[in-house]
Amino acid sequence: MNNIAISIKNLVKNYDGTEAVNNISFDIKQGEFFGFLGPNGAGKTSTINAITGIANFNSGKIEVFGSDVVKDYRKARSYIGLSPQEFNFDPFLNVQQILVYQCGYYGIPKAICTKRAKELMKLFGIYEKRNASIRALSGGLKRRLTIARALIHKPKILILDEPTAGVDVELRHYLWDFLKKLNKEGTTIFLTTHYIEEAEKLCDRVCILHKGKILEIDDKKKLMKRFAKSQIAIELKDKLKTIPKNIKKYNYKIDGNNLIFFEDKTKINEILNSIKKNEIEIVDINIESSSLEDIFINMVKNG
Amino acid sequence: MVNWIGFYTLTKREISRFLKVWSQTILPTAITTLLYLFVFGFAIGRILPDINGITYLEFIIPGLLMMGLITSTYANNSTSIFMMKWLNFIEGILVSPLSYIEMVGAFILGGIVRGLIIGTVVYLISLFFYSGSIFNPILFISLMIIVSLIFSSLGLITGLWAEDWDQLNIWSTFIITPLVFLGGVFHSISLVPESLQIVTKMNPIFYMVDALRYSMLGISESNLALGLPLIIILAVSFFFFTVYLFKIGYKIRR
Ligand SMILES: Nc1ncnc2c1ncn2[C@@H]1O[C@H](COP(=O)(O)OP(=O)(O)OP(=O)(O)O)[C@@H](O)[C@H]1O
Ligand SMILES: [Mg+2]
Repeated sequence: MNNIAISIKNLVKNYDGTEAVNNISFDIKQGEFFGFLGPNGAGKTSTINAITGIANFNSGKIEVFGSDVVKDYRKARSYIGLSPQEFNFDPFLNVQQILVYQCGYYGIPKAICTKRAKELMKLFGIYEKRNASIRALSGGLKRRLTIARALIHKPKILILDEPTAGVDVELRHYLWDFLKKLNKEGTTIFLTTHYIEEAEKLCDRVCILHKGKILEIDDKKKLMKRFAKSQIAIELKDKLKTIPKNIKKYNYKIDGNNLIFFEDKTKINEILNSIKKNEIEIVDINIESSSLEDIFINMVKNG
Repeated sequence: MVNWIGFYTLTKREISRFLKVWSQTILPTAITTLLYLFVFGFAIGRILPDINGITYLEFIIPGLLMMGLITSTYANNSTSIFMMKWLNFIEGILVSPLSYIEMVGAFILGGIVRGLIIGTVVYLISLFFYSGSIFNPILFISLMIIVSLIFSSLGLITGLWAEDWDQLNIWSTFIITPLVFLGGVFHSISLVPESLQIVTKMNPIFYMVDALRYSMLGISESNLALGLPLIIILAVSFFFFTVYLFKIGYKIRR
């Protein structure tokens, strides 16, 4: 079988007047935990809608395990489970029915659906609410139900559009562990989130989308290495009157008694030696690696 | 390969939707039918002359059945699809591997079941007023199914088209209700001035009402050789047009 789970080529999606997705291309490999990041309105949901059949798109080609989402839509859709950003439950059904009916739409016999629905409701702590109407669920419980519904047909690919928005800390951590385990067991995961920490914790590869265009797409670790500049803050006993010559070659700034370098951590010894040579007394040293969040903010600001 | 379970599940969803609120979906038609039969058929009808050898009361029974069937299947499917679109839960169906034919088929089958229930209810009510004999039962049932199909499709089409509740009601108020009333539910075409009969003959609902009247009472005023094929052509073309709209995602896949 094709080991590309989702392949997107030159995807363009316009709403009258707005270019939501502007010619993007990328592949997601089978088994990957893929993070899709970007500020509000970047085009993340529009991309997901194009993949899952919720929206048409203007041009480009999307394949899911080799099946074209337009020509071979039934096969393509059968591989994917979607937990959408906005709740879209059928108001005529209760919690358990929502799971069982959705499962039925995928062509799975009712007895199996009911069994799975019960397992998933227990797993996500909504079993007690199985006969409740949707209106009776809190936001967090609804979120759990969307994820349970996305999993009801055991999809090979799970697409999560901001699954942890409006979710409490406990559930967020529970979900993180759950998703990690699911991914280890072989499910390809496509995650959209505004919590960069979440992407940093979970994802193998990250794509940063901005104004419908891809700013960066790379392995998370490589991305962080490529852009990570550590911030080395050295607190001095006395304020510097003049800047020693051998320090000028670094990328630095002076902040009161602090001398702050924006350089790779590997240079730390060299920097400290240069300072010592000038017989400047050091009081404290503080090193901070930049996080994915810094990288993200920087990119979006400049992009 | 047909996704039978998926098709069955969506059909079941459609049927349980209207059954759950039967007091809004079945009962009103039963009550209006009863009122029409009592006031027009029983009370006023007694002073009216027979039409083609049958009493006025008997004459309007097939008309009322067709009227109930048309208005409720149309309302059923236009409301159902409109709600799905309005509240976005059509997305749950769009992301599933149901084919467009299966989606449309399930919605329409739901509408047909509603039509058959309405037809049965109206028929049972009419038993208070006439013998209940049916001239051609196979034609009678086939007509109920096929006319339900036509108006279920039309309901889907207008439900997709409508962007708010007002637009949803435009069709039934300005097109379907007038065509039903002018289609000979309550009157014989012979009562219409000859110069205006052409208008009746251009109204497809006239052929439906008349064909049903033929199947129940054995009398007809229209050319069935023209009417029956017309009904079948309408059904097939509306069905495939609806499938086409789903395929292009007309107003559902933004
Ligand atoms: N149905 C629509 N009609 C018109 N414009 C739309 C529609 N949906 C999205 N847009 C526009 O397309 C752009 C991309 O929106 P999209 O929802 O894909 O962003 P997003 O990355 O998911 O944002 P968020 O983080 O806020 O969810 C935005 O400018 C948005 O206003
Ligand atoms: Mg979004």
